[in-house]
Amino acid sequence: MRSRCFVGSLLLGFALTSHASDEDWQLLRKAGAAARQVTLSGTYLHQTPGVLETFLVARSGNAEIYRAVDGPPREIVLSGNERVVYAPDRAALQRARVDAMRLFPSMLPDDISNIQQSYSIQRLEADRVADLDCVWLLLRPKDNARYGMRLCIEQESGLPLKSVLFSPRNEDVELNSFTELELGQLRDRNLLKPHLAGKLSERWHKLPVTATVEPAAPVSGLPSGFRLVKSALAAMPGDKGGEQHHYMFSDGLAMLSLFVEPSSGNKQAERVAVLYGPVALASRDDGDNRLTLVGDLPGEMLANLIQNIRLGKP
Amino acid sequence: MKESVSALMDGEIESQEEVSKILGSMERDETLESVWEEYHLIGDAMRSNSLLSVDVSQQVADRLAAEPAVLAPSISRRRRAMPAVPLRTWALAASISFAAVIAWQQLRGPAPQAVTVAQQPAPVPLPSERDSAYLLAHQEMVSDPNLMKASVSEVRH
Repeated sequence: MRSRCFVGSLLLGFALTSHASDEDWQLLRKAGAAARQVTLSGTYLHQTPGVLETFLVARSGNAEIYRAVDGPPREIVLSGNERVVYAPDRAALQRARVDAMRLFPSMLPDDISNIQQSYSIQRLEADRVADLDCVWLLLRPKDNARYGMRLCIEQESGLPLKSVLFSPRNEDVELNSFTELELGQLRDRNLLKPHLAGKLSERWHKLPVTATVEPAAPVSGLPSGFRLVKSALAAMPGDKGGEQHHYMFSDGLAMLSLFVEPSSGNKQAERVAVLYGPVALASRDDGDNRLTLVGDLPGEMLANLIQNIRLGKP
Repeated sequence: MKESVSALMDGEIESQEEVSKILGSMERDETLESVWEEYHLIGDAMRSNSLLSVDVSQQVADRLAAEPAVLAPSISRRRRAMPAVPLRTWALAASISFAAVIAWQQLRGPAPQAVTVAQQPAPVPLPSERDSAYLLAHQEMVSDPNLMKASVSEVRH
């Protein structure tokens, strides 16, 4: 009888845990959508090694603006299928290009359907960020090959108010946190107007998916959980003409690019570099090809990965 | 009667009738009620109860002035104030509590930590032109995997 009670208790406990976990994944999905859609205006802090900067952000509908408060003036304006970066000079423009890749609060990929394969989720304690109540969700990798993330989510809207990316050694490598935030309709539509519109600008037009191509060759050697999101032929700026294959993989949180291009005549050394904050690069020659990996994965992970990755025959 | 109160506190009274009798006496006699509180206080203190936050300094001072002997209870009473539990039982309880705390911390994972703010953030190390190209190509697909960059134009207004 006792053993039956014990087994029953275990099953009940398992069922309750599973239910709680489902709710947590649901909250994460809500956070991913809210991060892209919620109308808001506010200020957030972005910190990563060597970087401590503040942005004003305002969003209404599909119009969105990010204005750097620290460092060289620069603005990033998103609207529909266009992105424009404004800055007074080329150096600031380059800085803005880099800023544009880590915009908060939309830190989660669009598609997180496969995230459960590589990460576990756990709800931690309640907290308060920018005068709003939120609850922490912990995304912990199931291996030591990738970063984990903590998100403090405002439960009503689902908006992430704070995010922390942490390494396998449990060191924080990137933080974003609202310091002021107003949710709902903008009090002033002028918030969406760029201040630097008369300065140097770079306009990024986007086209529909027609440019997507079938992968040139199957890729193996990736860590478990990564799957191909898209592949395309890309002409690299600054390249001497020609195109290269660009594969994009995702495990539901980390995004990983593989560039495959013909090797230049001279054999190039293998190398690993941190490009920006948690984003690293690793490359090596593989026969007639030069393989380059770029992604928000730990540098040592990319160094191992570049050794193991293989291109099959088309 | 104080001995009865002490025995009640220690759970040594088994007869319901006796319990009712002692409780009735405490209701009628404020002195007995204060004895009840006093014994609990002593027990809490000796068990290092973290909830002990009662400010009794004034009461203690008054009592010391009036009848100092009351706060020097006999050895037997002091023993009763803290149930006579073998040391190994306390050690076992402490071990279980410690294990439970460690297990809970492991299950909960790391608490959100404040990121150490760099005293003087170094200037942003911008990647080289070539690496920037990879970075930006990566970024373009990350930011919107359903669409892709078609052209880049740089204009001066």
